[in-house]
Parts: sequence; structure tokens; C-alpha cells
Amino acid sequence: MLSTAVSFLAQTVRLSCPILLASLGGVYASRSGVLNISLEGCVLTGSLAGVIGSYYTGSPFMGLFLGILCGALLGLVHGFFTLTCGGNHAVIGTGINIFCTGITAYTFRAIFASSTTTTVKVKGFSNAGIPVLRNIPVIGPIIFKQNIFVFIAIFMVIFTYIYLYKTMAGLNHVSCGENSHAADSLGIKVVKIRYIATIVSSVMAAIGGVALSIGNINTFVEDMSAGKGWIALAALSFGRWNPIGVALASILFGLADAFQLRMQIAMTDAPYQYFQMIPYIVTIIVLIWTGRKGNLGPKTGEFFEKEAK
Amino acid sequence: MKLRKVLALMLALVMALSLAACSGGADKADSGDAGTTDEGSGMKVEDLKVALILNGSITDGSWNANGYNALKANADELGFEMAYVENVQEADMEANIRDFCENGYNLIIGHGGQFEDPIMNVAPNYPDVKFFVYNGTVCADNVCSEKNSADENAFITGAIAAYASETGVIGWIGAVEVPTTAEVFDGYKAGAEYAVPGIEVLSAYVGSYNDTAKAKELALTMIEQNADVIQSNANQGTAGIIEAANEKGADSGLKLIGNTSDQYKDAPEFMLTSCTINFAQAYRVVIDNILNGEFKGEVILNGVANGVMGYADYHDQADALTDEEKAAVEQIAQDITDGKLNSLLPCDYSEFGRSNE
Repeated sequence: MLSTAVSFLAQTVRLSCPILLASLGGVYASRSGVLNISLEGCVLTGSLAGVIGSYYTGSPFMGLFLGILCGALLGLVHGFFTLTCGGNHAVIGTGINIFCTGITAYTFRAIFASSTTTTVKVKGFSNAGIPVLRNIPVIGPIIFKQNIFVFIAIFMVIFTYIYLYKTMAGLNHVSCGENSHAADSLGIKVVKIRYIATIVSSVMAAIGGVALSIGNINTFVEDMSAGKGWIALAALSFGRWNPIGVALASILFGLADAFQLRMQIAMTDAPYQYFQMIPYIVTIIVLIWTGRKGNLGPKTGEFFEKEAK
Repeated sequence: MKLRKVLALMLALVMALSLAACSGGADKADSGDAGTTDEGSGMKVEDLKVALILNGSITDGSWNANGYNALKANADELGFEMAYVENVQEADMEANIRDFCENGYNLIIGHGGQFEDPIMNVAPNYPDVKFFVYNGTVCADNVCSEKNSADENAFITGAIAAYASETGVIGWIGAVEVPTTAEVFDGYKAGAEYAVPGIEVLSAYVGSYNDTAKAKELALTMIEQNADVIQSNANQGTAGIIEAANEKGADSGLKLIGNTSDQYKDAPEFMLTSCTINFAQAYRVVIDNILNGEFKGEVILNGVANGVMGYADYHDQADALTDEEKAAVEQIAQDITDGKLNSLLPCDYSEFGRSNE
């Protein structure tokens, strides 16, 4: 019974991890006033970049590096079209998502799939975890016998929390999302902060993608992001644009998924779709509940232009 | 500001092009060996232009890849002109079909039951064009379908899984619960229980065609519950299931059963057999009918008997079954071919000519 519970929770952590990474990225963007809905595309691109990097160098760390690089590039593109050109955030984000679907499929085929039946195996990250700590009963297998991405996610939750709420830079960052013109009048460089925030958010989503490919199955299949970036957006508003809240929301999504996987096997005749609905129903209820209080989160998507002096 | 607009426009163009670039293509097979067909009421092979419409990607390594490869194999062998379009969503199916009709294609193939409605809607407008729904159940004057009796070879692989299992627990993972996938599971379960009465058969659906992470977790959960043979019908999710096995290692005694084509190459240490469909043969039946002038609106039932449904070689895992068990599997295959096991097959295909008695 205990071992089942432990493996269930370990599974929850594994399933939550990519969602949490992408969702944390969303926190950076939203808090600065940028609506980054290109997370899904960044996850997918990160998946492929991870495989390509690992394939050519034999080192998964180079895969991770390439993933980060591609994420940064996508963030830069998003930033350029929204922050410099003043494009609509939702439209640019959607454009990037569609672009990523196409470019990943194309690149993957161009590099690997000379025939339509090849699968490519690359070196991935070990999930052996941290020695000693992984042997702690219960906690060990759940948290420490995991791969590097779980540790990155945990670190980033803590880091993001301290940055946003305990540092001056974080305060400036948040103020750009609350009232950009007030922030500007205090000498805060709104556009610069938003650029950095957008790049960081896309990089985080791309790391989530790397976790899906070389942190999990060590290969790439087309569209393998399978909506993780969209769930991350749901976790973002469900978690009230707060790193701790986002972490809890991501864990809830992972928990619901792990639960439905097990219920399917345990109860053959139960329709699995109902279990899959749970996190979304919870999200809707939470959004209605919190929306009533008038807290709709940071003001995202506006175009900031310095007023003429 | 002007430069920015130009840049924005260029990026939009690049995006649009990248989409178009991976949405399809046309292959002109060399017609060196053309002209080998009979004259008469049929059609000359050089007049045949075949278009294939797929709802997924041709690199998925299973269903859609096989549809593409089947047509390509026939086109290369017979030398007709072919084109294909992939990743077609439900809403765009009709438009794609009409497009091919307008462009002079005279055989349109919808690769999967989901093309039934779009093809039946378009077909009356193009009486000179022939339509073929693979794995469908519709027919009209110019529309024929082939229906796979998916339970027949799944019955055999279910029996193989049951014989190979040492724990008495076997698993099955599907992509999304659609009738054609559910039929595979029904056959698998019936076959396993026929071979080893009392065997426990676990089953689950990923709920997506490409969520590899979830597919992997499902496989790990089944392994945790003692399943030692798992058949995958999870499309791209199969990559996740194979990785779950890799994680457990070759000495775990775990066995996998692939689907659609022989997936031995993807996991040589684990692949026991695969639940195969010979797509090229299935396509050939319809193409031959057209070339010979024998095309008619009918539903053809593919089975083990006509060579379309089958199972792959054991390759490196031949030791998982004793010689008696292998003989028993062959006997089951023979009995299914002869129709002797029809009463045990779970699916009702009586309307397509397979009696369940």
C-alpha cells in the first residue's frame, strides 16, 4: 500500500514537472505585463532542440543548452513583435505556436527521418537522482530519485518567489505588470524588463520541453508537447501568477493525471475521460471564485510607449 | 516603423511557408514499367492518379506512416502518379477531397474511418472519381471501403502475450478510445483468455495520439502491477512505452508487442511480435479492382485469410514461447483463417460477411 502511494506520488512529480517549468515561465511574462501564449510552441521546440543537441554532441547537457538557446530565440522574436512593433500578444503568440508546429516537424524530418519508420534514440539525462538523499524512505523516491529537471523546477519556484517578492528588481518587474506608466515615471525601464521577462518565460517553457524529450523518453515524436504548454497557461491563472500557487496548480494537474492513469487500470469499465476532466473543472471553479473578487491578475497584453515629454 | 512592418510581414510569410512546406507533397513515380495492365473496361495505369488523405503525420511510425508507405509501394511498383496530404483536421477534410477531385485525381483514398462522412458528402458531386475509405464501412456507386477485422490478429497476439507471460498479468495500451482501437483490445483480451484461461488483462488509454509522457507512465504503472507483456496501440505514444521498458532493462523479462507494422527495430530487446496490417496488400486490392474494371461500391472485409491482418516474427524473443506454444499459436492462426474460431471473436462483422458462428 505504501509503495503504491510512493510510486503514485513520484509519478505525480514526473507528470507535473514539464507543466511547472512552462508555467513558471508564464509567471515571469505575466508579471511584467506580457501575455505569452507561445508556451506550447516553446515546449515543443525545446523538445526537439534537446534531442538535436544530444544527438550531435552525445551530451544531454548540450541538448539542454540548445533548448535554452532556442527558447531564448523564440522569446526574442515574441518580444520584438509585441514590445518593439506593438503587435497583439495573442496573435503573435498564436503565430509562434503554429510556426513551431511546422518548423519542428520539418526540421525533425530533415535531420532524422529519411524514411518514415525511423526512430532516433539519443542520450538523455539519468533519473537516478541524488545519492544518499534518494535512499530516504518515502521522500527519497518521490523527490530525490528524479532527474535534473525536477530539481531545476524546485529551485526555480524558490528563486522566483524570492526574486519577485523579496528583491528590488522583482518589485520593479511586478510594477511593470501593474501599472507600466507609473513604473516608467519612476525611471524603471519597462520595455527592457519586459524583453527579459519574455525571453526567460520562453526559455523556461523550452526547458520543460527538454524535460519531455531527453528527460523522459530520449527521442522526439511530432507534437509531443501534447498541450502541456496550454495546461501550463491554465496552471498560471489557477495559481494566481504566483510561483507557489503555480507550483501547487501544476502538482494538482499532475496528480489528477496520475490518478486517472491508475483508475483506468484499476477500473476497466469506468470512462477515463471523466477523470481527465477533474483538473479542468477545478480550474474553472477556482477562476470563477477568484474572479468574483475582482482580482484578474496583472494587466497583460498592453503596448507600452513612452509618453512624449 | 515602415521597416518593422516589412519585417513583420516577412515573418508571417515565413511562418505560412513553413506550414505549407510540411503539409504535403506530390510524388511522381517513374513510369518506366507502366503499361503492363490489361486493356478493356479497366483503366490504364498511366491514367491513374491517386490522392491519399491522412489525418496524422507520415512520420508517426504506425498508422499514417503505413498508409503513406502502402500507396508509395504500389505507386513505385505499378508506376502511377500519386499525391498525399497529411495532418488534415476534421474540418478541412472535405475541402482537401474536393481539391484533389478538381485537380484531376481519379482515386481518392481516405486513410481511416474518420473520412467516411467527408467522402460520402463529396462523392455524389464527382461521379467519375472513385473513392476508397480505408477502415471504413460506407459504400456508394463510386465509393468502396475496406474494413479491417481488427479482432482477428489481435486475438493471435493476445494468445502470444498470454503464453509468454510468466506473471499471469498482461497489459494493453491504446491511444484514444475509438471503435477501431477498442476492437483491437477486445480481440486481444479474447485471445489471451482463450490461450490461458484466467489470465489478467490490464488496459488503459493514453487519451492522446502523441502524449509520450503519459504513455510511459501508463506502462510503468502496468509493470508495477506485475504485467510482463504489454501490447501498444498507442500510435506515437509507443515511443514512451518502449522507453518505460528501456528503463526497466532487458533483464527484467519484459516483453512488448507492437502494432500495425513489425516494430522489432524500435526495441529489439523487448519486441516479442507485432499485430500487423499489410497496408500495401490492402491498397492493392482496390487499385487492382480499378485497373481491371472490377471496382464496385462494396465493403471488403480484410482478415487473416486475405493476408492483410497478421502478426510479425518473434525475432530475438523466440525463446519466450515453447515449441508447443508456438505450434498452438500457429493453430489459432490457421483456425481463424478457416473460420473455425469465429464464435470466439468478439466483434460482430456479420454485415460484412463474417458470420460469428
